Amino acid sequence: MAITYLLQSFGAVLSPMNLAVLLISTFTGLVMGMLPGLSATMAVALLTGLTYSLSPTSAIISLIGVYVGAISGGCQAAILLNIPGTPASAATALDGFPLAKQGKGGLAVFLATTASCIGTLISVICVLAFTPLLTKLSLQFGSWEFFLLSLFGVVICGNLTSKGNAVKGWISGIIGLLVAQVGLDQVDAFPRFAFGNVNVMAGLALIPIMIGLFGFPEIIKAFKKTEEHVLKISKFKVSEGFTYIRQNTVALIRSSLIGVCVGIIPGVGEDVGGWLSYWATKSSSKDPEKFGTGEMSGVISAEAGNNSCIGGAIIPILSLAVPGSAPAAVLLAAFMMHGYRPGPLLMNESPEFLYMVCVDLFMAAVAMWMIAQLVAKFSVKILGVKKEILMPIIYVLCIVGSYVINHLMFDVKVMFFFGIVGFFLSMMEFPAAPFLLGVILGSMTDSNLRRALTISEGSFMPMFQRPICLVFLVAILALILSQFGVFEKLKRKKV
Amino acid sequence: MEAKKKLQDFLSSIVVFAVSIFILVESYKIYLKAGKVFYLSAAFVPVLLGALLLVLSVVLFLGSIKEGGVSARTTEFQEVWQAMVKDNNSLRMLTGLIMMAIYTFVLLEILPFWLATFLFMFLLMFFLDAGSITKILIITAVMDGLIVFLFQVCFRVPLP
Amino acid sequence: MQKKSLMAVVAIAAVVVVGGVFGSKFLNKEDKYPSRDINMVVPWNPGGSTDLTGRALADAMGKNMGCNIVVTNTPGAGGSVGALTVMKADKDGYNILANGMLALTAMPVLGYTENTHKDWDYYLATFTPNVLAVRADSPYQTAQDLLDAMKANPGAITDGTGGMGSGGHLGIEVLCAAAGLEYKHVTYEGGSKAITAALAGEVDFTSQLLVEMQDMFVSGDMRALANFTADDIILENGTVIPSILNFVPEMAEKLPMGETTGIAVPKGQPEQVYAALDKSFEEAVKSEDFVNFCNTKGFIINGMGRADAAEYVDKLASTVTWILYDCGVATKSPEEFGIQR
Repeated sequence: MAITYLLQSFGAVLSPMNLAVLLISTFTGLVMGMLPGLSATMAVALLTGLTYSLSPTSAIISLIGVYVGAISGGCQAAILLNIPGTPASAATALDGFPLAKQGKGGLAVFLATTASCIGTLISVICVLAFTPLLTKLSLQFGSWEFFLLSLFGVVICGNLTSKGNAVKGWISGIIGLLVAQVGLDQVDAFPRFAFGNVNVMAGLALIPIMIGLFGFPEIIKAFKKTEEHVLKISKFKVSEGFTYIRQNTVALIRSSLIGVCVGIIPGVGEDVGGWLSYWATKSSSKDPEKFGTGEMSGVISAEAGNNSCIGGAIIPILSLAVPGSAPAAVLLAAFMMHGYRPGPLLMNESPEFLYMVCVDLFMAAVAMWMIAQLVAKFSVKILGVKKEILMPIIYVLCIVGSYVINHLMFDVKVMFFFGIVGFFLSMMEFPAAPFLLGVILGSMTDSNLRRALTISEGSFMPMFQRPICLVFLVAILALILSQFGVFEKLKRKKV
Repeated sequence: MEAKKKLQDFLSSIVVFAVSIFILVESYKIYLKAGKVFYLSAAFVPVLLGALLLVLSVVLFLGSIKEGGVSARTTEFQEVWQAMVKDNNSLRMLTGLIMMAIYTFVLLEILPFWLATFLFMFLLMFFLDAGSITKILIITAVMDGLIVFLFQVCFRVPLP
Repeated sequence: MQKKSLMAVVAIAAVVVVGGVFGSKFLNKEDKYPSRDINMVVPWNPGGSTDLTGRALADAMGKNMGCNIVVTNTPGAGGSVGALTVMKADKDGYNILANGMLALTAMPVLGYTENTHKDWDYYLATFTPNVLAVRADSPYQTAQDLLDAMKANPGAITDGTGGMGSGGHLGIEVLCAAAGLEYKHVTYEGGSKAITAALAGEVDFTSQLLVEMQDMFVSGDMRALANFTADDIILENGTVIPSILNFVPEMAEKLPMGETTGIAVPKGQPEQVYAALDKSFEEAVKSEDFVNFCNTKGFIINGMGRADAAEYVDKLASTVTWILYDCGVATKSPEEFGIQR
């Protein structure tokens, strides 16, 4: 039965009309992912509207295509400009941009896109094989687990990005968490830090903050009159690229699996997936200090991690009708609009749907890889363009990107404000990435902690009794202590 | 560059400390206003975070005064500040920033998008000495048109 | 060299500005509505009942009006974040709100907004009742079990809802007021999250809307204990959801309780906007796609144009705000806003 469905779906995708749809939508996704300010969520949302009139099969193909394209596309801007195209690629920029500065931008993009493709493919396998099992896992996550997960994310990010002095990373992360608290709170709708401004009460949107935080430092730095010559992008051999990929197979697979697991958890998506995978590879590497200076495996892990979240995020959609991440949520709505009933009845009502989605994912990953190689030839040239020409254009795109989300000039002002903040952060050498992650995870931290306390009547005991929580607690403690050299001291004692 | 780092930490820890005090004060006000039991109050998480921030800023501060103490840092700061003020680069960055601000807050409010954008890109590129005037003109016009086309026509999203 | 080029720049800039300003005045004739995409704000997370109805309407009405209606989800604080966004926007017909009427009418007394239901014009589309539901392996087999447990342990049984002022919240408040019970309220960001929590067992039960849980009942993952209409509801696979009146007859006059979903625009739109919306809405709710959608998802179609809807919402607002005030959840009295009992 399964084979029939799979063959049917392949047949459907390979029809000329659908192939065209696939290629166009994947390309659109790539472009939108590349442009800082247009996120994957937006890309999927925009296309949901545009493709409504297509047949359900074609529409789903286009949506999955744009989803995969967008998550993958972000890596290009992250690597070449140090401005992540989507929050999911923030981890890629860490090692990607240094690589670009060394002239290896083309290679880095190639690695990133290949890793993205493979990550997506691995997640497809997981969707096919493990959907029921993984669904059970996602249900184990209750409010305590979400709270600790968000703390864990911020702590990791702080450790990863601050080149030794994690305190700065944590400060950055905590300020990010605080920024997320601004506005009407999720539990009681109590206005916090709003100072009476109605726009602020609605909360500060993530994308403008991201654009400002990462974009401004780059743009402002470009104003300096420097004699810096434009970097030459050295050509690279595709075979060389594949060698790197093969060398990092373990990291690839591990990152993909991590990404799938992160994707399954409702509410945590591609951005966290990229970070966790990056961290896992760095921790198990023989020379962790090289990370952040242009380490290939860092780029590979981050991109595989964030792409495999796509498959992971789709799993709870199919079995529970609960989205695993923000763009997945839009996808869910689109599925329902086209008459499918994701949820426990899916396998009874439309069993072919699962296979169709998997095939679409597979094809989208392949299409994305091919198109990305073509696009990369052009995008890499962007680094060759003089900063003076590039930056004003990028700034305009930043403005457009911030505006397009809610059609509010307020968001543009938010972007500007956080741009200044980002500038100071970079001047004082505070990493911006934990800040961003804090903003993403802030409301999750807040509402889950308070919800958990509501249920437990103020007691923190459940946190110490639930297995997943204990794992998180130990991990967080270990991460914090490792920064203060506790482990080195212990090792020295033993020796 | 260790000295530069210490100075950065010194300055930033003071700023962060101030921010954390602000947070704690505001959160306390929220707690009073919300009137709920503390651990359920909207102020709970901000207070926790503010307190953490306070502690971390102190840690950072202590780390930054390790060699030379406060007096050494203040002297360094004055030196750096003098150098910065005289530096041509700082002036350029500031001007560029002001141009961006004018574009964002003034131009976009009073002029239609394509016009404001055109002006901004043109003037900024000129200021940065991006090339000959004709070159700038062409690039600006093309990019402006491209952006408007892409977003308003292809993606059908309204522009500012 | 510098002076000359600077002058050239200034000259060019001046020409561009003058030409641009005049040119745009010339070309700016936006007479026809809609001449560009309409933004529909759904103030809840995607996948919930409001979101689905909004999207279905967006699709049907968009086709009818010949434009794209783009849906943006702006969740937060019981729907008020999204509502405020639409309220603040220009009154040019390009920003409309899709919301559940329970949530919208409750906003002023919960202290979320200053404006009330009287500041909007409505087009109502669908209705779906509250349902008390537990996960399949919950100890509560019937509604009576649950109600008895609540009586024996006041304030200890947890109900997961989609937030303060959500359909689930209001339903349970009405029940508790009528039956004299107390429960513990645990809020989530939207109906689907609350249902997942009930499924996972983090909360004892949920009082959310039928449409959000229907598939779970049919598949057997969750058990429906009672519905908040006067009749028993029979699902497609024969599952019977008894009416709450079997257990709490005192609720008769408050029923049906559930969420009515539709579109709202702030009052004061231009005439042509109203004309266009009136017409396309009327046709949308009759359109085949929309009817199919409602039948599949389990919505009851309850289409009302502006005039009827205004009356309906007025009555609903009165019920909702006073319920909230009487049970102590509302921070402000409905009287402050001129809402009668």
